[in-house]
Amino acid sequence: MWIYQKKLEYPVRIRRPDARAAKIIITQYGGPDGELGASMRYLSQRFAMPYRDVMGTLTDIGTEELAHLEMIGAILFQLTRDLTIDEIKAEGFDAYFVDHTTGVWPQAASGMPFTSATFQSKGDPITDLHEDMAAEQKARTTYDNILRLVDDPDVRDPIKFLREREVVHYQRFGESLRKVQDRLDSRNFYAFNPAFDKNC
Amino acid sequence: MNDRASMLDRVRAADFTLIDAGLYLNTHPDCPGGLDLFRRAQSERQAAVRAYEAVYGPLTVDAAQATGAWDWTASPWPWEMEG
Amino acid sequence: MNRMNNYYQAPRRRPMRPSDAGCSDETPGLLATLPVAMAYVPMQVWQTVYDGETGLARGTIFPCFDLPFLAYRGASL
Repeated sequence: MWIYQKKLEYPVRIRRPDARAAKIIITQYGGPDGELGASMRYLSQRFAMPYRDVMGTLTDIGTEELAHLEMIGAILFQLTRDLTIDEIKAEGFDAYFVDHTTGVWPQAASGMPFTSATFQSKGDPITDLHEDMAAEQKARTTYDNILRLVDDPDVRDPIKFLREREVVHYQRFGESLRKVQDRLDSRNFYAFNPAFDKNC
Repeated sequence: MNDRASMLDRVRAADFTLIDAGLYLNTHPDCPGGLDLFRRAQSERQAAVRAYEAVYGPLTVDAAQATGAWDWTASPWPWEMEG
Repeated sequence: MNRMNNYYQAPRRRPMRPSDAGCSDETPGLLATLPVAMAYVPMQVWQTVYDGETGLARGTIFPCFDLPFLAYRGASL
């Protein structure tokens, strides 16, 4: 189960609202490579994982992604506070505003609602860990792109933190894959699925 | 930056060491350097949390004061401008 | 069979041998000993870590992962 700590993993202190930046950054809240997808992916995959050390990695990284989701939510909240209707119209925020006002709702920058269609929980340790390594790289590239598009240092600061965490997570999933390999026969890693074929 | 922010930053720094070291230990469970770092970060975190909660209220609901008045909700929430 | 038995089974493997590499075109070295059709990330080696404040600011306590994005206008280390 989860315990909630009343703090952000890394502080978010944005002095200047900017709805244009919010429209972009929302993609890490509910988009295809965002933090909600990442946490649901890892927290779902851990049930089929047959090795406790990898269950641990999936649980702990999945939990940290929820903390990152919260940071993105805080960024969006601070970027959209005190907006005037003129600013909302000028910054192209009116389409989102009509459905959500300045509430936070999981969607991609394109407007596509959050969906589990953008991640897998395949029930095979080798497959799931490859999925996870790819997910971390996709998230890193998304943060790279946000850094290209946003200039405000108050916003760039937590974004850089979140980007760096993706690099570390990639390494840990890669190491977890090595741990799975260690338990299999290297003459044929694909002889069976250790999550399902219990008697091999 | 006020005192509350700096005390919370102390908790954040200690907590972050635990998080990053913990992920390392999940794949390197026997590393003496990692285990030693984790233990030291645990004491630092405990001290930082205790110092913060004594002045600014609970960081987790189980640390809430249930004598007199309920103090879990009243302090600023993390997305409010005080971070 | 109870799944619990799988968790601490001794690995049913033998140490990887250079001959396992079979079809690998790698020059001599570690990679040449690894079986093809699989991905390998090197295990991180322990190193002196950043202090808590620095680690938080950089996003990791491990200097080896401190790999910032630099390809933007006004980038600096």
